[in-house]
Amino acid sequence: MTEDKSEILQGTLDLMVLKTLDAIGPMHGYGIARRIEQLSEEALMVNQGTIYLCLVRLVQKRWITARWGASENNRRAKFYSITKAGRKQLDSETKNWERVAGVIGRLLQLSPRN
Amino acid sequence: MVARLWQFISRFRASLRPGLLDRDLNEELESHVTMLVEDYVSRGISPEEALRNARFDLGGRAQLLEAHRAVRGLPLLDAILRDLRNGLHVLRRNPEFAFTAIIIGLLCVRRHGRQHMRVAVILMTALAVVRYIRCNALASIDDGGRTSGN
Repeated sequence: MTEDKSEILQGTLDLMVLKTLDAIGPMHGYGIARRIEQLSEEALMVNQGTIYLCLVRLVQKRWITARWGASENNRRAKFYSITKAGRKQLDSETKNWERVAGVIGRLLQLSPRN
Repeated sequence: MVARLWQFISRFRASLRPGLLDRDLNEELESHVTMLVEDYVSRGISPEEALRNARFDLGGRAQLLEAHRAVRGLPLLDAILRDLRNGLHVLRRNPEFAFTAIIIGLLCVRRHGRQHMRVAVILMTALAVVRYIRCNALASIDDGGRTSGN
């Protein structure tokens, strides 16, 4: 909610969720949102509701699976896990992201003509 | 390509069972709010304020449900199925209207002949008479629930 927090770029939330699930294993929606905020050192603002739209999209594409289970506090929660197809997609998205970030980085380093 | 195919199949299936998936999401959001409240309370916030903050963080439930439906289903198919369900509901409540509408529809599909038009007019008149009798019967029920005539 603070002004120095950045909104997540459209389309990058899928990549973040896949990476989070790949790194920490099965996790519920709340845990995923919190983990992304913590890893970004609270610099990114994750709209907590939007995470569920992202999750349903990823489940539909079979990049993640969902099943009901019990949380660490013994609460009923839906847990998401990355699939083999999801890992493959994550690999491809990571390469694409690195390529785009590299191009943007080089563009921003161009010195101005005067 | 495979992912898109799976997505289409999932969205098609989701359109056929909207109620079940709404309940599933509602339960998941409730669980999210509970965990968020526990988190706020552990940071020293009062339970009432924690609940208020948690609901605010999650956003409007109705908007979220609507957005979820649009993402998980096929909006065009959803609209057609919703119209069909509403149509069937109306037809079930007015069987004589349903019967007349179906017969007239079938006649119109076959041919616009004079004979068929005559049948349609007879059916429409019969429908009007049935509705008139039914309305009169309802109007004649007095406040005590006793019928007077008809």
